[in-house]
Amino acid sequence: MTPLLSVQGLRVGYTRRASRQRCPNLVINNLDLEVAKGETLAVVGESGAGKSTLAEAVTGLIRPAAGSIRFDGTELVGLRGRRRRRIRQRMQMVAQNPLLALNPRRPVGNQVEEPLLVHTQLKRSARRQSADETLAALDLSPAMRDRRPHELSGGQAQRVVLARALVLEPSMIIFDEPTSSLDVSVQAGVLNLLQQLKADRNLTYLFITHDLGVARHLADRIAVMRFGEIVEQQGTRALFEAPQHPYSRTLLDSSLTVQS
Amino acid sequence: MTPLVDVCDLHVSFNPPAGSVRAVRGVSLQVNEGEILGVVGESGCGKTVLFRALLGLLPASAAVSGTLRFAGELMPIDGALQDAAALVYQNPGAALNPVFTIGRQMEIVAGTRDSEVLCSLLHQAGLAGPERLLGSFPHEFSGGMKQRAVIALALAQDPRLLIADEPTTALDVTTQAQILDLFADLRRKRRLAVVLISHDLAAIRRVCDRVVVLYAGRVVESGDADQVLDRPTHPYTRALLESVPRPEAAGGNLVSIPGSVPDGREAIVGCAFAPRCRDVNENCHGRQPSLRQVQRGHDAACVLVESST
Repeated sequence: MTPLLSVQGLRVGYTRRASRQRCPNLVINNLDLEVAKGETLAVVGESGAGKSTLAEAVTGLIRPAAGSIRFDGTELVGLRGRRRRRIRQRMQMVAQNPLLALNPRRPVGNQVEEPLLVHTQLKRSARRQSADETLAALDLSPAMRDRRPHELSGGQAQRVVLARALVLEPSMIIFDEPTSSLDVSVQAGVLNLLQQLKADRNLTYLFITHDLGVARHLADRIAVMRFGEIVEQQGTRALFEAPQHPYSRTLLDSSLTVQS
Repeated sequence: MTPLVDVCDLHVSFNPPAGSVRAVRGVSLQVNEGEILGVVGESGCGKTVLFRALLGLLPASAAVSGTLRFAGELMPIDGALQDAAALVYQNPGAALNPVFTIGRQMEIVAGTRDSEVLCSLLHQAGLAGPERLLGSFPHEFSGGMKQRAVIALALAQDPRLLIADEPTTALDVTTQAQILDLFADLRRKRRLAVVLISHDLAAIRRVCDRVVVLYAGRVVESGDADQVLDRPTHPYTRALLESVPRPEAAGGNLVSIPGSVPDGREAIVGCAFAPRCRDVNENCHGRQPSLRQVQRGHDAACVLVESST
């Protein structure tokens, strides 16, 4: 079966303009990754490992120096214009801090409709209906649509961001630390919701997190990243039971647990 | 033994024109010398405000009342601890001044330019090669090193109490454990009392001797860390613990706590947690339950505990 997302030989760098350095600082170096349809792949690692850069490269927010990123068979690197937009509609991103991801000055209903304005020809009433349905699917009441982000709790705000990703009915969602700014009690609700949505809508997740407990809870497979490379890629169970790479072992050993 | 810090019936409210917000509603707690006390609760429970009040770091609009004894001596409640306690902040990157070297920042706080003293402080905070680090700027440090530098700055004030507000939240997993162990180390070597404010129950588990669980500005459960975390009595503590993903239940449904922490503007009648509680019954809405002993050194404020004792 062809994977939904396939990344090969990916290199991403940031050029240092100040030093007029020609060759970029590689943040991702020769990375290969595949995500099958309907799968959840978690990417774990410490800050500076390149996790977020990977998410940005996959969603097209940053241009890779080399390599290939194929989504459902289509090469994304170098893709432009309408064809690029059509593909981007099918892969959406959810960022870490919902209050930074939302526009503080606009009501949330309006913000959930916005992707439809960009990507579809839907009329105003149809956009509104679609946004309302999506909000309802995430347990957000219709009264919520007129509120501004600061009037929402952290969990509600993150569900609005999720609604904005879901309103286009994507096949894949890329999450960059979606629960790290939330309380555990709220995180639990969001994680449950993600599981349910995935089952209901046949979604594929690329889930970036530094929290091994969350990765273990959600993921089918886990990729451990360090210094821009994937050092180990395993089924979740196998990774936790028998990590192969010394760094994976260090990471697992240092993770704190509530259990005594 | 007299506790180092003994807070009794602390209230903090803010009085903006839009209406009074009661952030802390009658908290009593003790911190003993050489003890690590964990303070847990969701955002908005009053964890941070409580200790900022004792450090005198709240804006003038805050009204603080209650009594405070420090090492047995009665002190004015508002800001009484500012000389005896030092604060370790959540985000070390924001706590350090980016344009001064670490050494210069330490000189200011420690009131000395003696590099031997400064090096010893950095060393105690677990930084190797301190001579070299004195001339470095914060941006040259990794996250964990920055947090250690902030701890060194706190130690430079020669405190008897260290108040760490979410000190590991901004750090990587591999660094978190090291910073927590550093607190345990400092407690042992300097007989420091440490208050660890955190919403991370795993962090609390690793180093704390005792735990206080706050909800809506009140203590709902307190006791020895092992007892509270292994045999939680209050439904709020139980729900908090159950909402953490567990390996044996991977992929299953997690327990989440519906609703959110009550707004400080609302008057609370009965138990503040009742609207979100699984085990709620008709007695919960009548009056506020007070702390009752569950076991020696383990108290909980719940109607269900009251009726069973």
